[in-house]
Amino acid sequence: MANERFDLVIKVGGEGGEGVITAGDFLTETAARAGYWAVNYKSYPAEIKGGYAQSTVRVSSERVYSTGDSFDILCAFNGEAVEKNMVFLKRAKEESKPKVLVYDSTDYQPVEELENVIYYPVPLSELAKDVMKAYITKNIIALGVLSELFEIPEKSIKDAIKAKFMRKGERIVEMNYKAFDLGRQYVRENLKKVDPYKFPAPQEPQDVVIMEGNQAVAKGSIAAGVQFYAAYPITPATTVGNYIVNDLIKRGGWLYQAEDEISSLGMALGASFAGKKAMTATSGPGISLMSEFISYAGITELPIVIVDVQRGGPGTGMPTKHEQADLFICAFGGHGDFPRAILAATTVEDNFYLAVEAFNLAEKYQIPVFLMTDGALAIRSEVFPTPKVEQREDGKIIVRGQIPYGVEEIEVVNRWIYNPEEDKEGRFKSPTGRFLRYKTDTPDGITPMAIPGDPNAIHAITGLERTENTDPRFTPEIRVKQMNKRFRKLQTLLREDAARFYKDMRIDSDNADVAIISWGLTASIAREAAKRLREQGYTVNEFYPRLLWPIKAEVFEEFASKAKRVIVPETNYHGQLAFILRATTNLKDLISYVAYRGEAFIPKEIEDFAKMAIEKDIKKGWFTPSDVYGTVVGAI
Amino acid sequence: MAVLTAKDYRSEVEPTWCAGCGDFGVLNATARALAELQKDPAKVVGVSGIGCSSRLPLFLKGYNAHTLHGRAITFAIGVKVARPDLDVIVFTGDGDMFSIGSGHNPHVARRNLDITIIMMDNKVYGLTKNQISPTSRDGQYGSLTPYGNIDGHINPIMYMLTFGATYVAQTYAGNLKHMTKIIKEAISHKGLSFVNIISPCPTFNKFDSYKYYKNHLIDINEDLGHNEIDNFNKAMEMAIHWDDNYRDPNNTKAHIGVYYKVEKPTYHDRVKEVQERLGREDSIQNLINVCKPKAI
Repeated sequence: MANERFDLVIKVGGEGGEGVITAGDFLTETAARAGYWAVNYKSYPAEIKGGYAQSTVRVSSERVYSTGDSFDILCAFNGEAVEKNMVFLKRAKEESKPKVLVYDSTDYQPVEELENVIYYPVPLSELAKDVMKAYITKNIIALGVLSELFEIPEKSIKDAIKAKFMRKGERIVEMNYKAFDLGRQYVRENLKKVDPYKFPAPQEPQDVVIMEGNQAVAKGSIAAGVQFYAAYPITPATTVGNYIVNDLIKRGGWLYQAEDEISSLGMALGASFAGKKAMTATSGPGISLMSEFISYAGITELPIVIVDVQRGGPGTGMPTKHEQADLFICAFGGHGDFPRAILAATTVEDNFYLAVEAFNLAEKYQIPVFLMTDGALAIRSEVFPTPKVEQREDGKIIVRGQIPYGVEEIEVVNRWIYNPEEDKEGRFKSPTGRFLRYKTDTPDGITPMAIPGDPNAIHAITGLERTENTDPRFTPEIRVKQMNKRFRKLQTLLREDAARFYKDMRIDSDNADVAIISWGLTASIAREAAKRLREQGYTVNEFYPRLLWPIKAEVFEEFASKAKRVIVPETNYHGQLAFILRATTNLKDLISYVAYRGEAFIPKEIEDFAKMAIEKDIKKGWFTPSDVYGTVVGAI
Repeated sequence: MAVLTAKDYRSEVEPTWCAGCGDFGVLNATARALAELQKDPAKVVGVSGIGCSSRLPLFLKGYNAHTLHGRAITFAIGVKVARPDLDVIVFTGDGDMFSIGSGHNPHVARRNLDITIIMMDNKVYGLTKNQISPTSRDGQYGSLTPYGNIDGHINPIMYMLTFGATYVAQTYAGNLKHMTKIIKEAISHKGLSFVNIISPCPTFNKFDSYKYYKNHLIDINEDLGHNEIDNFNKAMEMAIHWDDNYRDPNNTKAHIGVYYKVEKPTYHDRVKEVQERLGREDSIQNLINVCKPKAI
């Protein structure tokens, strides 16, 4: 069975509250239960109540990282869902594969027959109201319809339904089964299948989890041993807290709802100073507010993980929309010079492992570490191989799995705590016996911390420049030594840890037609574009770094030297990664390809631009999809 | 452990305050209070913001943190929630706590965190060389208000009572004995304790001087008979009365004493209840496996 390749995108759209999102979740879980992979991009209404909601589920026999260019099947719960997607339906005539429209004929009648679109009218609302006598079952009836039409494995989908409702009792499960069967029966009695889409038979299910992006951040942080989480509600980061709170308490930690984001970071740093692994998650506006404490973490050398679930900025911007425009503030926000690191996730699965890595870097180097993700990743769910966490008897924790950026395993790192037994010669003690928290002569710049309660290493911390034993002092000599100590940690990081985040690199040719460097969600879309370009005979080199700061220039320079042109697709105006690369490497000829419309790229936009760049021999500059299509294109 | 004296709670760092600064008194009283309580210096965490007063923790021995302007309370909360076994004391000033940092006051108080806040109230910004603060008197000269203060003042005692602090007192930097007693009580209090210390700034605030307070202090417990200190209404009445000194400083006296003291469950007491209710999960893998499709 495994050799039958299939790849299908099903979109479910309708009024928020009609079970649209739930239907998408069922399809995702069904895929997992039937042994397939799935990515589910959810789009909640921006309004507090009601409004249009949709769920785009891509199911495939291979791992997929984007929801593709468009859907194959649209299941429209109302007329609005059809209208919202009319632009895509109209495009069907230019495409080789037909599009299928399953629609609620109680609510909608097509005015015209579109070319290359197959229509399946089903009176979903009527069946729910008149036959089931329960409008709430509309989405389950729809699932029955989809199951019968596209041979979605009945057992898998019924198991998913049962798993969801068994908590509510046998009667509710039976009612939903009945609704499901009603949908199937309606198709058998009233519709004739004329489209080519069908699920293959189910495979042996694999050992997988289904997580949303923010959930993966939460679970990864738990694996890393987080003990304190400071939260202030902000779209789209809030749910990291929702997902972590109970796990954290069960692991002996605590989530504190702060009064604002300034407080969140202050509290998290307090907890870190007190000896605990600490974090906070926020979005752009929160990062702006935290900037002063980020700088403070830099000078006091307190380990801290800050998750930035980016949204559309600036100002209040577009809180529910996708954008990657916080790279500048994460790399440069906060006053003064201090070391920091930035990791960026390209998928939900990345979020899990990079959360562990973020804590590792923070604890090892005693620096602020940003984990950058975004609003689209936050609410998308993915089926991926179950991460394995081994808790050894000696206290060591090893995280394993199919780690997407190519490392074998991650050992959880704990901070270096001063131990007088290991310091018999008194390296970290002054002649009068004071603890030298900030000794400047260690080769890697890292010095041991001490936690409150230990009488051997009592010390104060301050945001002022200070001596090795933390007394405020601003002499040029002390200043320069302390600065050098702090920045030496970044050199160590580049030497010892950067390579593991640079493994997701593919070199097709030493003189490739095009090379792509991308980050965050856009990287997962660029990956698909690269694959298609390759299928069309182009040579394509790809590089998706997970570490975005500091930058190891020679890695980027060498990668770029092997292609005729380098495209850096990202969803912000400046082309922020390209901007940083131009500043930190000898690469001046980079092609920024940007979208800042509040939606992610679709693979086709990157594919088409790459072809245009090759054709027109573009080597540098700044481009948007409008340069390819002559108009602003909405992707989703 | 050998008996510790006040000296044992002082760090090697020498204070940088002006001669005659009230904060010297606060430092001495704090060291004495800690010595009288025989606290382990390794388990006392002093946290401060920015300002003259906020330098204080650097002069104490302990795991102290000199943080950002206005943000001491946030840092202190993180320390306390992470490590309830530590004694956490915030050292702050009138500008630090009631201007830039005022947003944190309601929340630390309503949750009744077991933290002590010691505010050194000199009614002026000293470190930046004389600007008026939220507790400055009418007409007070400041470099940014050369025409004299027209801004009005806030009453820290009333605010902290309203926000839900469970121990509220005021004392005076010129009275070491009273100050030590109050600081000791505040540290020993289970819950959020707030101590406002009138701390003269001889450099920039010429009105609120030692000379002035010599004749203008009254002990609310001893002299005004405020004894029902668990009565919130009485405490508020007394706090309103303290405002009289702002309005008519030459004819009414400034307060020292305990306004309010009441025992209530602390934030940590409630945290413990939740932790017990939810129980422990020793296996991280189990927490990940809940994301697998549920077995049927």
